[in-house]
Amino acid sequence: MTFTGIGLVTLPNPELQNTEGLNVSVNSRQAMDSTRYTTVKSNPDRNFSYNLRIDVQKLFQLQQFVRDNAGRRFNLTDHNDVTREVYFDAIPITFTDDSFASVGSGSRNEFGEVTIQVTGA
Amino acid sequence: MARTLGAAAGEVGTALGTEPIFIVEVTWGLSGPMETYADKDFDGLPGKILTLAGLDTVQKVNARGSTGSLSMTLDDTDGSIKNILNAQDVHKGAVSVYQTYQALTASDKFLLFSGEISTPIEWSEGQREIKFDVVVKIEDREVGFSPEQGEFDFISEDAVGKAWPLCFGSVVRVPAVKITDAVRGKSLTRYSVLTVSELDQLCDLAAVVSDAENDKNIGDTQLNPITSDENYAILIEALTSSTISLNLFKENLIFANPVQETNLDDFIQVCKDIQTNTRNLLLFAAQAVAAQNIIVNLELTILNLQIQIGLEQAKNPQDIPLISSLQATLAQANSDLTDAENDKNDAELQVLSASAAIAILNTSKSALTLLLTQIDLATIIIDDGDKFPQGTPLTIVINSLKFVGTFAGNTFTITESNVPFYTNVELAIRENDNANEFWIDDVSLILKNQYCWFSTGAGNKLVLVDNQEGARCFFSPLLYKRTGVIEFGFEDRDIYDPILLSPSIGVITETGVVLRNWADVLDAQAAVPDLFNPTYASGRSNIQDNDYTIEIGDDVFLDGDYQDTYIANLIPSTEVKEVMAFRTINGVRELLPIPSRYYDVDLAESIAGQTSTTLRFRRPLSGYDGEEWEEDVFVTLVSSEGPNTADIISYLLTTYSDLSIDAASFASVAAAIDKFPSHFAILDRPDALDVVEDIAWQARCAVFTKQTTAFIKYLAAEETEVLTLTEADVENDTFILTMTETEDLVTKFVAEWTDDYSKELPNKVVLRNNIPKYGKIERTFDFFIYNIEELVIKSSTFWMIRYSNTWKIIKFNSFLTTLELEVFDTVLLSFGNDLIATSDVKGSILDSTYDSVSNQVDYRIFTSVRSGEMDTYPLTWPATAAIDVEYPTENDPFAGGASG
Repeated sequence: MTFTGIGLVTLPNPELQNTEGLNVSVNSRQAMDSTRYTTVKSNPDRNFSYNLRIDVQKLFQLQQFVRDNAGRRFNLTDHNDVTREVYFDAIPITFTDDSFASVGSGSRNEFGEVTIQVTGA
Repeated sequence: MARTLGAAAGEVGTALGTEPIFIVEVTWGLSGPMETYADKDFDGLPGKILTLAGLDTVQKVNARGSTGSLSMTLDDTDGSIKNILNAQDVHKGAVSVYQTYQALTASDKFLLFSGEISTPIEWSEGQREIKFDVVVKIEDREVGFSPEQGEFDFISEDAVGKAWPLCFGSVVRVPAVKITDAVRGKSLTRYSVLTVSELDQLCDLAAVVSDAENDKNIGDTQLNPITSDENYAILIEALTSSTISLNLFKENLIFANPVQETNLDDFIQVCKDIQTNTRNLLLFAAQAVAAQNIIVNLELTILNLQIQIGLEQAKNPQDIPLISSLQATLAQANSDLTDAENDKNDAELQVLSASAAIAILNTSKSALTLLLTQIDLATIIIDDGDKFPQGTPLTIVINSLKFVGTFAGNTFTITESNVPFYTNVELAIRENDNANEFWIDDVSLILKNQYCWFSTGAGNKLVLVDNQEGARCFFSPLLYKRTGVIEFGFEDRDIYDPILLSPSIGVITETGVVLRNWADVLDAQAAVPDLFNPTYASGRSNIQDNDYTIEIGDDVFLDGDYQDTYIANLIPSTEVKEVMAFRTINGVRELLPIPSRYYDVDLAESIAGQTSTTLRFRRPLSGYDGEEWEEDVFVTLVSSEGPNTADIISYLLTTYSDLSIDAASFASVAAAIDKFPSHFAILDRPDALDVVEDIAWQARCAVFTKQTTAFIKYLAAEETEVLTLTEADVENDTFILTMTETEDLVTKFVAEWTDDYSKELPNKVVLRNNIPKYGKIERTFDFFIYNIEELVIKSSTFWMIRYSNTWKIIKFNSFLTTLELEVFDTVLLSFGNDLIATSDVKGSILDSTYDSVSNQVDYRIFTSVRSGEMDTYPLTWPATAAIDVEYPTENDPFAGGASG
């Protein structure tokens, strides 16, 4: 995945739990006399959520990119090579850094997990 | 008031496939920028609306207007709102929520809700969003006016923060607010001016003592007392009792005027001396008369003896013994005559001496009388005297008497007493020929109880004004002048006619409540009282002086700082009908009219930035000696605003809120309730919206707002329905039939009202209904807008019918097709299967809640059908009920009727 805005950061492909929101939802209800009523909710923007496993070096790059692009739209080219104009939903992004702690016989794990939520079309 | 859908009506009425879009206009703060957002990028508007939750509008408790709220979340990923927060206080900013449709444009939007930003207001750094609540405008400015501390110099400290009465219609005895307070203190000195009549009594007592002392002295000095022991005891008793009487009387005078003690003792001694000399004069005059009688007899005897001796010497010259005897008798008579003449001369000398002494003593007595009857007060101790200007000459007024002097702390040192209260008072043209009346030019002058001294014209004239009615003064004694001569027996007698005081007589030179040293000069034509002439004449000697007293606690005022100002109505009035205050007469406290000459009315005076109805009193009410007025003033007036209740509400909203008025609804309701006028005064400073809702409720109306416009609805009248609701408008499985809440029932309705603001307790109207069904559930309501009992009963009966019955209420979810409906709107409920009633019935929207996620609207609707019945109750809307329907109906078996 590549984030291109103020600066550029290339990240590994997301884990399997990534989600992509839908553009349109339909609400349908029925009256006492069986009359049906429907309304539509559409939005060109969709919500995207990616779980990434990155090393410390990428983490620092990502942090810098988030700081530089907070409140801005930037281009995201995903693992399917689709480029979207998006913005960060939640800032700062929470990094789960437990996995950076030393494990086993004291060796240090240089990887961690981060969830990135963006909205865009 | 049905929602206006405009170009969106077609979309709203479409059942399938519509896509509603929310648009919000947010004015960030009272003076901040107005931004428009949508729930997605739409027609050039940024899609920043994340959520709109709980968009509900409900009737307030007891149908007192409507209220509503929602919770809104806006996206702030771009930080634009945070930048606004950095520069603006967004609290209370205006928010309007609109709806349009994807198939339309932003300009086709229609209003769903409007309100103000309210807490909690939370901007989340992590989520980059802002959340806040929006509520319908819930408070506004205070109604009325009250001066603030230090805002106006002329307003007394007691008046700071006190609301000025705000009157509508014709109000009765509204308590006026006194806004000024003259500098005043309380006398700590007791003093009384001695009067001539008091001195006359004292002198009479001194004379009695003098006589008793003389009688006792005679008893003491008799060598052979002619008096018995019993008679002597009587002399002692007479002396003792007369001395006690004298001393008691003197002590009372000294208590009232201690500085005159020495002069009083001198005066008593003079009176005693006059009595002694008078007694001597009478005694020696009697002796002179007796000696004269002896002389006359002796002279006659001597003459007879001389004749007899001459006859005997001619007839019997040889009868020497007889002649010698006669000559000896003659010599004795001459000797006795000489003694008698000496006695007479001595007595006459004593008479002359006594007369001279009495003349001298009377001169002394007159001098002492003048001294004793003058005001000789040197200082007065005055509580709060330090509030008066210090060290500079000024004039104070105590019990209508003026003193000139200077203050040093609480001590007022007098340099001049009994300064004329008025000078050069112009007389006005007479309106009748009553001799005891005159008219003055300046009606503001208070001459009652004042002596009026005319030193102009022919001779001096002095009268006492006994009473006054405006310019008309009643006085005594009558004044006479000689107008001719009439033959009376063998004498000519003068003819006297009353003097009619008029401008031709001249001005009243001076006035005062205590006689001044006015010269006792009589008109050459004036009547001198004697046996035949009238007892009245012009001149001081013919008038009695008043008793002037300063008691401890008497008010002390600065001369010229005498006027009290009262606010009767914050706004202009068209008429002040009556001004009253409590007054105590013979121990009975009564509310009585204040004479109009005591005050001036200004129906529209510019004061303290207001245009108000004011009363300016020419002197404090407590300053009218002997009249026992209290200073709380009650005014009956006709205000320039009202009495139409809708007009009053319109005035309050336009004056004390930022809201504008929906002219159509106000005009319609004003016409409907014109025959139920409101006459009331607001005596405090409630919130404008609160008091407006309260007033509307009492008038069976409801006021509600949309954006910045206020609407009014007459609840007692049945209206044409905005929509007809059927099964097609109700979502399946959501219809609920419920009832009036048990805790909302009122079976004993007590309405308090007043027709007179001087009363301490309100009047009451008590209405009862359905007590046998629901028990006694009592509530008291304040119907302060009406001062006519029939109107209180009418309005109370309407609400009592609403509150004392259990009504069917329906709840259901509906669709966007009913978005036209708003709270208080009338709907026709056309449901089959006897769901509500056996036929179509009308109802009124109690609540509506718009769920923006599911695009459904939840309603709660009041129906005109009571629990247990299947038809409309005929008096649900009494104003439009059939004319032959009377309350209670045959279906109101437990109506308790109304009582006053």
